[in-house]
Amino acid sequence: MKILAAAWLIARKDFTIEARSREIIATAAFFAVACVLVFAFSLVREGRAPEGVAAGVLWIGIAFSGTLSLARLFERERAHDTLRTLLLAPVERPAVYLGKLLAVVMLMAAVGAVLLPFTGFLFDQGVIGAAPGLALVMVLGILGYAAVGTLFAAMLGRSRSRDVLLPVLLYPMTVPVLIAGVRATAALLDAAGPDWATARLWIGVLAAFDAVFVTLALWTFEAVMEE
Amino acid sequence: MNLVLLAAAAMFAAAPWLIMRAPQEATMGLIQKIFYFHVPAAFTMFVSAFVSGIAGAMYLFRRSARAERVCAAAGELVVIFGAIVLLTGPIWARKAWGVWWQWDARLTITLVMWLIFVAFLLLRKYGGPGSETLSAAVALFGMANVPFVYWSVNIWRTVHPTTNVVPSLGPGMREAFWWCVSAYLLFYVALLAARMKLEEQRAALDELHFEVGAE
Amino acid sequence: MRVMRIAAAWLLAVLTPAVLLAQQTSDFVPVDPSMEAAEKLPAAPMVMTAYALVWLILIGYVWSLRRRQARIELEMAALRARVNEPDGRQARRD
Repeated sequence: MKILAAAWLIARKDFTIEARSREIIATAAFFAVACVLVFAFSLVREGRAPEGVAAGVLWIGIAFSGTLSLARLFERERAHDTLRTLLLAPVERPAVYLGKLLAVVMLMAAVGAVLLPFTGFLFDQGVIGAAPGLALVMVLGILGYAAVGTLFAAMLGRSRSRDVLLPVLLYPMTVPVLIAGVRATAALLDAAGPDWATARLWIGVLAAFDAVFVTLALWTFEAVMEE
Repeated sequence: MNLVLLAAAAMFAAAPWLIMRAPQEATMGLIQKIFYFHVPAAFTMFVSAFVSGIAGAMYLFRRSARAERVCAAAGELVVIFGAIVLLTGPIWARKAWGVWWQWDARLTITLVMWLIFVAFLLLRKYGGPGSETLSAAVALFGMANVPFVYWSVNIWRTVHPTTNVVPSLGPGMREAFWWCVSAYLLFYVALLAARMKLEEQRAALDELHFEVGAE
Repeated sequence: MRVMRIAAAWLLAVLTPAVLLAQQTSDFVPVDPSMEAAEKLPAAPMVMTAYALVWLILIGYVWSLRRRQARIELEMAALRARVNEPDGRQARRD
């Protein structure tokens, strides 16, 4: 319980900074929207989007803007050398990871909440009918992506060329999340009505990935952050 | 170690003789012979990924310099054997399926694992100080990712001949196949040892630099 | 120079089957380019190319290991020579 309380405090610090400046949320959301537009321009033919691309475009937007949020969130810590201070705080190390993870998930979910209706609107997909399912898929997918991303971004804090290495490491590692997220979303956006059986299968993959990688990251965080 | 390397090279040089003597496969014909270089390479690659991941975990929790060397060497060999798999695979696919690349489950899995370990090498090369710890974690995460990549890609796509091909091999084919597996594993052991020795020398060189600098 | 010659020989060993392959496939234009072309592809040069590629990659890797090792040894010898210089800083430390 103490760990959760400490994690919440750390996450609240990031929320407070974000609530004052809105720097990451504004830039990441705009970047995600710009991504979706680039895909719309390259995919739409004769005024119509090809069938079944909306899910893919949505997840590309989430993945790209996710890297941006991760990099900015940790750059802020690095610039003021506050990550070291956090690690020296008299709390268990995994609490620092959990707090950062919570902050990243909330940021990415906020961007996703903008992106989902926008993509549905541009690609003519009814997102309201399957909204609860879509929300669940997005939260699980973002959690899996952020679980790996938070650990890697924290590790890369001290490295050279960290801004390039983060996506280089993160994209191959999160391929299962992207496949499962895209397939589940596509199943829920199916023209013939939400295909719950397929979506359930992929939600299972996402949940298992989240469970394994959050555990693994909590387990290794302390060893990795040692100097 | 050079002896093991020579033995592996000799075994691999003798392999075509065994492979040509093995009976031809009924539906695919001669092109199926690529199987003998392709499948053992994939096998060695996944063995290497697990060696690297386990050594990475051991380095993270015990800080053993030896484990770090195994992790680095095995991670590099994943990329080498993965390159063999990814180059021989499409040659087979071109003949058997009519295309160079197919988004088939096993090909995709190999590609994803290969990319993870290429990223591992990039991190080691350009990460600067401290990248040993980080790359050990990447190897561990890459290893933990194997079942997930396998699971998700498997539901996504499957056209590849299934894994039950290996136990059902006929006589003649079986000997040639296991001969090639042994040759690859010998190569693997020799190259791993050589790569670890290189890392050891690099450490010794760093120490010498440190000594000279401290004077 | 020797290295270049070896590399050239290997390149030739790999390229020859590939060129043969290309010539044999350009002789006809099939109606359905996907499967029909594949049926007529000669398998033997493809198998040989695959085998040669495996050799090429393994030998290339061994060669790169040798080169890296040689570089480290060279640097090490240079450092050792500096440490053992009779009138160098080493003498002062003793």
